[in-house]
Amino acid sequence: MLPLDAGSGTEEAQTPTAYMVSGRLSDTDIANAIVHAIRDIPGVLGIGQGLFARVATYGPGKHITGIALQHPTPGDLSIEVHVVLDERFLNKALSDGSSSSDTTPILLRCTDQVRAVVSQTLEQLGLPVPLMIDVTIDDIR
Amino acid sequence: MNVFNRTIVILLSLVVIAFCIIVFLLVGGVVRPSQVSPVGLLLSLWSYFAQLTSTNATIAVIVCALIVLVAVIVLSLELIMRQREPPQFVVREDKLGKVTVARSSVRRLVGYESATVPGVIETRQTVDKGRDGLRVSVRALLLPEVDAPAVGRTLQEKVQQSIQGHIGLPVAEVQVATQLEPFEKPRRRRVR
Repeated sequence: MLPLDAGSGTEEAQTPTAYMVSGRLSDTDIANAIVHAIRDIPGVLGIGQGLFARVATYGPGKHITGIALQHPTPGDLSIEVHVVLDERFLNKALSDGSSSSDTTPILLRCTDQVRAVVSQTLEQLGLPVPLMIDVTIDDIR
Repeated sequence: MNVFNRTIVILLSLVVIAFCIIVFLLVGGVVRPSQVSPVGLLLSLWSYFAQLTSTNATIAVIVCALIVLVAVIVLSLELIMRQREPPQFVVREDKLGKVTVARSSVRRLVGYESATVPGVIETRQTVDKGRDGLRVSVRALLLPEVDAPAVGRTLQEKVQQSIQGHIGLPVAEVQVATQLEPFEKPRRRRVR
């Protein structure tokens, strides 16, 4: 078991593969898997807390900060992801990418990667592709 | 509060103000209950207010005046908050969702970039959204020996390139003000 530091205090996180055998997934399980996957993306320093108020997925006795799951219709899923990006990584990527032909801004490349990883994680969990994945950059440190 | 809640609060405030105005008019004898309820809606309620004794009418007027005051304050606060600029910028919106960046992140990025310009000691910056792009304003504290106009131009170019390269938002204007005097530090109140 890995310690979870996504804002839930005493709770412990399972590795994403553990969910596959646990039967029906709760929203906090899904959010937890997304947090783990996003953390490994280069340039992502951590998970944000939200801008107006704390953004989190709440479950019985626990919550996962920075990820909000919504079900617009039964069986559908919309996800809101809040991330904090690494300023040094962005600068390095900008200087490295100045010679390449890709003109996509660095931040959008990062958010595209976040969206791809979220979709991939849901696919691994056997869930359908989400209708919407909103990504918010809460901070650049 | 989200937009729905805010709209409900605004509508409720307006209803409360309208109700109190009707009570004022009824108590003052300016209108009759039948005039404010053409289809008989709330007729018994309006009649009750119209038939209050002078003591009860005074109490009703005072209570309604207080309620109107609170409603006007709530309404003003809601309208002021609506006019305030959002704390985030939408960078992209497509069929898969929205990508937004916090205003504070853009401000921070401007700060980082400004600090890398030689001769700049410290900066204060603001970022606002204009019609044709972001409007950035940077106040920079410079070393006394540097060429301020040259550093200012470098700052403008660097900030613009950084925002467009990192975030992809158009930059309409970068205003740079240079100074040699240190920024005022926020005063600390001594706790006794």
